[in-house]
Amino acid sequence: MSAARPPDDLAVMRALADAVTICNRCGACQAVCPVYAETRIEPGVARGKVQLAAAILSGDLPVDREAAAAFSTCTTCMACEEACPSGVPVVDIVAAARAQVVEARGLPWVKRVVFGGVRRPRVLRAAAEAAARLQDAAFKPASDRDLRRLRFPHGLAARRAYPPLAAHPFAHPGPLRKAGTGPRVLLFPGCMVTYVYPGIGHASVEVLERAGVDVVAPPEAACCGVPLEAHGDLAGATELARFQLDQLEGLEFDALVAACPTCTSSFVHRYPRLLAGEPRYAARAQRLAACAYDITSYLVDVLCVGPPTRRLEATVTYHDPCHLARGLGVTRQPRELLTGIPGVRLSEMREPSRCCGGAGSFSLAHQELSLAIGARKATDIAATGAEVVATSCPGCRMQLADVLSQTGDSRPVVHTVELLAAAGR
Amino acid sequence: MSDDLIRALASALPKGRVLTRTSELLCYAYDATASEARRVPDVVVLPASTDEVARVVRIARGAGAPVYPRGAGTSLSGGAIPAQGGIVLSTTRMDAVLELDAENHCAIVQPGVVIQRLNDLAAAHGLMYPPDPGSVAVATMGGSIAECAGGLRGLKYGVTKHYVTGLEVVLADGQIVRLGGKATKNVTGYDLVGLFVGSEGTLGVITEATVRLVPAPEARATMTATFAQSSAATRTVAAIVAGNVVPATLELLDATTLRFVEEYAHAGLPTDAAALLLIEVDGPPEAVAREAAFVERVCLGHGGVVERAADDEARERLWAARRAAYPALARQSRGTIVEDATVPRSRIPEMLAAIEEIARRHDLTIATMGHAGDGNLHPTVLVDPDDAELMERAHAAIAEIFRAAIDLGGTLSGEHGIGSAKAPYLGWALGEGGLDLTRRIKAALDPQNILNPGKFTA
Ligand SMILES: Cc1cc2nc3c(=O)[nH]c(=O)nc-3n(C[C@H](O)[C@H](O)[C@H](O)COP(=O)(O)OP(=O)(O)OC[C@H]3O[C@@H](n4cnc5c(N)ncnc54)[C@H](O)[C@@H]3O)c2cc1C
Ligand code: SF4
Ligand code: SF4
Repeated sequence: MSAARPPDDLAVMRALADAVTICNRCGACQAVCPVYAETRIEPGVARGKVQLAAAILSGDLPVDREAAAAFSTCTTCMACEEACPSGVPVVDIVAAARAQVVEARGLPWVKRVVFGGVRRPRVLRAAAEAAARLQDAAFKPASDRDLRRLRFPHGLAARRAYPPLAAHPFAHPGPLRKAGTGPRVLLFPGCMVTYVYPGIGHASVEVLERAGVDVVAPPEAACCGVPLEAHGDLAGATELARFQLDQLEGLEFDALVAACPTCTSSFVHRYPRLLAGEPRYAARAQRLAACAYDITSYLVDVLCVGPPTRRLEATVTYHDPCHLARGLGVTRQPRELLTGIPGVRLSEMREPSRCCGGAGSFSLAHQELSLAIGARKATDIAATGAEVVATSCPGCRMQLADVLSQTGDSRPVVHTVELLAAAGR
Repeated sequence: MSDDLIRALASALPKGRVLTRTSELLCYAYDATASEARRVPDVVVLPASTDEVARVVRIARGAGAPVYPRGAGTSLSGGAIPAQGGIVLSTTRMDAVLELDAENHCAIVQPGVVIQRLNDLAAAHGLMYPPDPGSVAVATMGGSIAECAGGLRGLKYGVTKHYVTGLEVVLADGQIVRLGGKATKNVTGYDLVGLFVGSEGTLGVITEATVRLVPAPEARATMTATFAQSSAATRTVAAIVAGNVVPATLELLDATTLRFVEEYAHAGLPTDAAALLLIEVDGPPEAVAREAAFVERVCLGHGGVVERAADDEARERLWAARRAAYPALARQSRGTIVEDATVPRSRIPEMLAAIEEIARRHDLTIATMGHAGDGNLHPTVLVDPDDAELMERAHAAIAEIFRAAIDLGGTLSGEHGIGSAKAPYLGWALGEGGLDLTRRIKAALDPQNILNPGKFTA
């Protein structure tokens, strides 16, 4: 095979060339990769992707649409990284390959338009608000629950059932209600909480304030940038990272807390990496990384909150979000919060940290695959007999609600903080 | 490869089960063998039934195209690499456990079933499938039967060939044959089942297997013993076996391995130890207690520092050192060549000494671990596939290791097979007569040489 591009054009991937070579092709990742479990083909599994990255670097695989498709079948769940005996940073390699494709080919026009909006918070807000108004025309109720199916299936999302966009996006009610003596927390809402699940935002404020915390919000509800980076739009993601740092500059807070682990890991892991080479931002990114927490970890590890007062008689099962469990190492804290609620019994599902298959827009781009991965989760959930499903990520919540609804399972899915808030009222 | 072949395959199989894109083919160019070059196949097929396998083989035969059966692609001898291009036949879609017959202690499986899955199902009946290669969580039944895989329980429970009682095989001419069955005793004609176990995909494609299960042991006792001298460790192994105690597991880690394990896992291993033995006895509780006490006495008598697991958690901790061995080595270098030379148990001390001497002379890092109980050592050479000079030294050292093993009355491979990696040395082990017989069997069953060509039968 001939080299499609001179290897020197591969700067983005070359940075990870060493990481690619440490894969010894042992195949251990086959046991844990959720995509491989469904497709059973080698391009689906981490080993295949890492070897494809090697093939790009050696010039055997052109950086084209086909390569893009190959690297798109990954939920970035990090299960392979956890199982890998050699410590191969698979998710970074996949991200670099996606970025390399964009670098070489540009973004497809649909993504260009969408991401152009995401990069400008006000445009995103306006678009989301318009969409919220229009959606009644476009969606029909999937059931009597809060999910909707597209009224005009457009192929991409025909089978998926999604919650409506919030008519009133989450916004923390402005300046501090009370300037107390407690720690001051910047609650970073993120897109999903702002536009889809504002209830998670309100519950977060509620439990934090109940614990004596002063909650502040960032001026703009801008995206953390993960969706862009996931599609290889490194420039867009970096621009958003800078935007976030700029808008937080000058605000005073002791901790940055998010109820979306993808947002949290942006502050903890991604921004320091994306901005490492930028003198204006690098140090600030590090400082933010040091004070960024997932909300469950902040409540348990920093605030050491006591149990809420009200009883909630319920059997709850808990799904570990990939980016929380493996990305941030937080699995104990949400369980402590849940079992701390008087009356709540925890019934663990099989493989609670197995990927739910949501993974942001992966669920749209690879609908069948995403549903198949989710169907296993739905089965595991059903087997627990739990009445309520808790998780700590709005994205997982959306996927879980969808895959449960596909089987007619009407168990409610909530964020951990929503149960906590309810138990305190 | 001709487009005609691909067209024929595409019309013989349901949609989506013939892969032809570059990005797909590149993913079937390798297995887990660090020393063997990649080769991209022309096409990958994913048959889901015996019938589909037979169709593929018939088409291949008509076109004279090579067929490379592939399970999980974890072979360590180059067995699954499509050395001459052609068709990779992946069995991952044939992954049904067709029957679990608890009454007759056996199971019937399709070739793509992952070994661990069979074990999980068997466990529900208090049974187990003993062959447990280090790759048990991913390796397939078909691949492990084709390699006659061993594992960590080999000393007491034997290897894959001791458990296969029946096979269904698609031969090179596309014919489907069923051999053996559930009967555990069978001397009806040649041992045709045995012919295919360990045949590495060169004689036929295994499409179904009947395997024996055994009752899972009621109890087990686990301990580690560390020694200041490796000779003390090997004498301990000899003394345990001489006492007529057969542990399920009797693993050895040498000083180099221990150093890397400690660096990687911080398991609190003594860094001045020259060798560690991991020993597990299993069986009925009374026997386990007696045997464990004996093993402990022997270890102490040879100057070992013994740690015995009081509960499951402690057992996990002791096993962690062994489990960490491969990751620890894998993280030391860009590649590892895991060798497989096997000697009679009593010659292990000499073999270890020979490996150390060879490593020194070639200025290589070779960490040795292995199934000491059955003489099956895994000298692991740390390499960098991109460093040609280093690879050359590694290959020279490996040839000498094989020579040493054979001179000690041993053999090239205890469980990883010959594939392409060890093919050049096969004559050392088999002699001219053995090589000739091998070629005659191959020619009789696969006259066109379409099944896994370019490997040890070449
Ligand atoms: C980390 C690691 C640890 C390992 N530990 C051990 C160990 O302890 N003991 C041990 O014995 N091995 C070990 N191995 C080697 C390897 O895992 C085994 O040989 C395993 O049995 C191969 O199974 P597979 O499904 O990956 O087969 P593959 O690698 O896909 O194929 C192996 C061979 O079998 C042939 N084959 C596959 N399927 C069929 C079929 N249906 N019909 C006919 N031929 C077929 C292939 O052509 C090839 O020649 C280890 C490997 C790794 C990477
Ligand atoms: S587990 Fe790691 S080293 Fe092994 S094949 Fe997968 S990515 Fe490569
Ligand atoms: S991150 Fe998850 S989906 Fe992606 S290759 Fe690894 S295990 Fe598979």
